[in-house]
Amino acid sequence: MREDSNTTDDTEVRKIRYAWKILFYLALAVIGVFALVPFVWLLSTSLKSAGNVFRLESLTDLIPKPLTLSNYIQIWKQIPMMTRFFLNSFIICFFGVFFQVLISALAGYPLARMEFPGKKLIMVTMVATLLLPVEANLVVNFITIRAMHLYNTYAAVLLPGLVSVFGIFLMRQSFLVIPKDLDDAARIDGASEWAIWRHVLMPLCGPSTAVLTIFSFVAFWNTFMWPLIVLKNESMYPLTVGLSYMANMFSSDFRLVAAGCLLAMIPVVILFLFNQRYFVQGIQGIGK
Amino acid sequence: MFAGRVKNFCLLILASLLIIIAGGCASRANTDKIRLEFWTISLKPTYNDYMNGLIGRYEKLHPDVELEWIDLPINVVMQKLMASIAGGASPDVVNLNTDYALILAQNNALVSMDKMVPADIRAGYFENLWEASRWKGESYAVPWYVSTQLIMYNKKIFKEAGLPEAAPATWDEVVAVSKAVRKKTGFYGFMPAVKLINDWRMNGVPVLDESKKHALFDRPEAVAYLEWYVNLRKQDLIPAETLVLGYQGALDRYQAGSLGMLITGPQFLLRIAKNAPDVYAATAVGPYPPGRAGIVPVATMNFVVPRASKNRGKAVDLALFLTGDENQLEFCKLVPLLPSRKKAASDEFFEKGKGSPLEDDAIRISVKQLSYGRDLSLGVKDSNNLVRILNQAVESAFYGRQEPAAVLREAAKQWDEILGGN
Repeated sequence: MREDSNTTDDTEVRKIRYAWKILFYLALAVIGVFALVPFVWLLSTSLKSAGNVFRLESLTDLIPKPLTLSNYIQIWKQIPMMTRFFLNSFIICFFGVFFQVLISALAGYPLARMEFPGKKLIMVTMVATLLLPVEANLVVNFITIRAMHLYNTYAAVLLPGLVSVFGIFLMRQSFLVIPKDLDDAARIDGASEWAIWRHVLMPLCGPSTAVLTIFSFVAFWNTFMWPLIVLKNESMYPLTVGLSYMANMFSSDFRLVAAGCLLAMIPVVILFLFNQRYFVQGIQGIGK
Repeated sequence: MFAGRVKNFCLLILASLLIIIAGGCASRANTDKIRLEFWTISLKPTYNDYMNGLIGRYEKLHPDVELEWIDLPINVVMQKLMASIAGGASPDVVNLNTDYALILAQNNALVSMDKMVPADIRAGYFENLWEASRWKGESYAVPWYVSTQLIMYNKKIFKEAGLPEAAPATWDEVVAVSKAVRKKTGFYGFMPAVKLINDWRMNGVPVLDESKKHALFDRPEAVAYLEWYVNLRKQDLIPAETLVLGYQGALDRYQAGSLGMLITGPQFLLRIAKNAPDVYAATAVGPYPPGRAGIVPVATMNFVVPRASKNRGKAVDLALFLTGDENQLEFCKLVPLLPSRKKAASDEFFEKGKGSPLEDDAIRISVKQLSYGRDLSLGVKDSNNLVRILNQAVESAFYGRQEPAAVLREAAKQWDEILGGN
């Protein structure tokens, strides 16, 4: 008899658990749909050739009829420099990400591992710079770039973004959670500070490095205003600026804009897919 | 071994960075010509042919001058201009809207066009447009292309709502039409871009006193215009997101075929034709109902010359060339816009059109409005700050958090504090 009631209890509990699970997944699905709709709309718009792109009375309006790739081709026809813009963005991102990660990791190391006078002051000063509005930096940075004779160079686009306070703190945080015993063991083996940083700590900071790589890549990839301020030659403009050519003062073809936005998203998505596993670990690590 | 490779890699990167820097510094061709740098807003690459034509003609007329054309998106132009002036690399001629021009004029950053341009040439521009950039008695901009607003309406929606095929002629009629559209079709009739300052000035309600140090809009006749919007919202005749989405929201709704009327400039027909051909086919246009003061708002694009320009005289000359009668007329044939010069505006093109019925209608109506149009930009220091305060007040009244009279009283007090310091 008792056994019987136990099994019914068990099935009850299991049922409730299932019900919760279903509800949970339903909720996730709804959030997923909400997150995806703008993307799907963009994709569908970029594949449409005629008709109203803003009309969305039923879901079937999302299916392009007829389906065409002509918008993607049209981008290059309208803006022949598109390939150049892509290349410029890759150049900016490559150097930008490399130096930002390198500098963050090198600057984060002493802040996490060494004791020296003024360490607190340095940290507070760094955080204080975050409080300055972008506009305040803009003019000073512009004057500095001109004084360095770097106006209209890729270096001008890169320099102000190379040191990232967020990056330094992220790397410092990930060094902090690694046990100090590892450094000590390496030190006993005769390793220099450089070797400890390079061969002991950095290999353990994969997730944070991945997070920083993605964040800085996205930041450099999306940079818009600064390149326009320090560049003069169109042939050096990054992709974001090039995309703005698709909308002029009086008209814009939303199909082309959509196609351009999707193309611009591809590198970021690919980078994220490759780093996804580390990225999640890295994000979890930030709070530690 | 591995460390060595890393070192090599770092060296390689540094070397390539240096090459990039050096590449950018490649020396410019040395010429004895005067270089004039001029900026426009979002015309590349669609209007390259037109602009390059102008540049070629100007350089031919002035063999001693070399022009450099830079085109920027509107959201960057002010930042770049301020950085460039501060950094000692000012452009010579810059395309700005009246608001931006006034902000710079108030900061003593622009050359006075009243001083630089001879009276007989000045007289060729519409006085109301020339005066738009007036600050302390002097104008600081040469008006370029302008546009007056129209009412575009969706004939299909009007038919469904049982309305005659005609644009409403007064603002009371706009409300009546909106009621019918809302009731019969479920769509909204219109979605205004709420700009109280324009409403007041269009209707002869004073915003500031003569000294421009006191706000006057805490009076009942001014409050009535805010109440108008609040009541429209209460009756659900305009969407809840009117304030948040503004003009862009109205444009999107109209293009989706779910807004009865769109209040906009004729140049937006180009956008609707591209993105919503079915709505374009159902669109007709009518004049913008004037306010009690008998005027309608005009949006003006100007050319200004920064005081930091090294060749002010030549720069003003270039601004006058770019806005010359023939050059403006040629541009108006490409885009449904209006010229700022009287002779260009009297050309038969604006009456005859170019064979695209809807655009021709729009231009015909729009050009007639030009003579009683005013650029309603405020023209006081800190105007963007004042507008922000006013918008916050409008918001609290619109969402029913506070009474219209109370919010405007509070906003007027804040305006007085700011204006008193001028």
